[in-house]
Amino acid sequence: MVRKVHPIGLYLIVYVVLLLLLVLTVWISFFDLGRYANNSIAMGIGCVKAFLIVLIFMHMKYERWITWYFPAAGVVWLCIMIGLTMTDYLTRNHPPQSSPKGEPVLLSER
Amino acid sequence: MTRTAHERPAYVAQQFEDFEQQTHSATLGMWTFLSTEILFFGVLFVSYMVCRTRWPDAFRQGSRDLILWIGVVNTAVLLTSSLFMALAVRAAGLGNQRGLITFLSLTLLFGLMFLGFKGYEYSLDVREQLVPNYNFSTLSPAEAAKPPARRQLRPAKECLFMVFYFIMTGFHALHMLAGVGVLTVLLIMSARGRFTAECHNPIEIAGLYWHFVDVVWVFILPALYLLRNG
Repeated sequence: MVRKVHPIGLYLIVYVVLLLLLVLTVWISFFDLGRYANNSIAMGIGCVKAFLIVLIFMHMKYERWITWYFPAAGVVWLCIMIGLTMTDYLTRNHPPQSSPKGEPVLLSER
Repeated sequence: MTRTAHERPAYVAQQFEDFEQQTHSATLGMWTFLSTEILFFGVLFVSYMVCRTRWPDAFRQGSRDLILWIGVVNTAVLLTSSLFMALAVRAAGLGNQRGLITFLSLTLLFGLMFLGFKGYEYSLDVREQLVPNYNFSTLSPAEAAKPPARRQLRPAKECLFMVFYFIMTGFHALHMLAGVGVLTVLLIMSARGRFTAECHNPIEIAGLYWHFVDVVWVFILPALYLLRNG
């Protein structure tokens, strides 16, 4: 058979680490470290947790290399979408709270 | 027609060379679906990011108005159900029927507990008058009780934050419901002894889906609840 059975301890360790990361990220969210630090710490810890789940719970660590291409394809296109969208929205030359140049004015803002 | 019956177990479908290939294509098929799901939720996250950078104050207030403890408890509940799902897959691999049924039931139980907390949270949001197009009010019930001079109004754009909140958590809850349905079917099948140590692909594949829904929540929690200073 192709499948291996993994020791139960590995799952328990990953579970405890996930819970500790959860406590850590909630604790950090109570401090005002500035917008960018708060946001990147919160999302960064989220990425670590997601990676642990994918690697151990979803057995990605033990899959053949070709399996990696499938989630990677989704993540790569997601990064392209985030990257291209945010390079546009973060670099528009307009004061905050105002409607950016060239964008239709919403009905509620008239 | 060169193969004989003892070379080829009954659970290997016709189109596959052997069971290993069948297992591998099942895994790849599920991951293909999950990568489309990454983009499905990704669109919501990207538009949330765009709006959050444009109205940071209203979105920060929105994060503060959500009920943090329910979000945190729900994360712990979902992580626990993921652990039980992983243990159920392990029990299936060992051919441990009782373990499989126990762990599947526990996974299902914690999944339902998550949905229960979610429903309770939605009911609290209704009471707080936070539901867009239904009863969203810039004056919360707690503020309305104060004398007019001391009232603090919610930003009008917080309504937009609540739209994102309900769409993202709502679609996540729908995925949970689908997972609960799948797990119920698997539970009935395993109670009838349909899975063996060699052949339990459905458990493994359903596990992938269940863990993925967990991963989505792992990103929803910081994005919606935890950016109270972000």
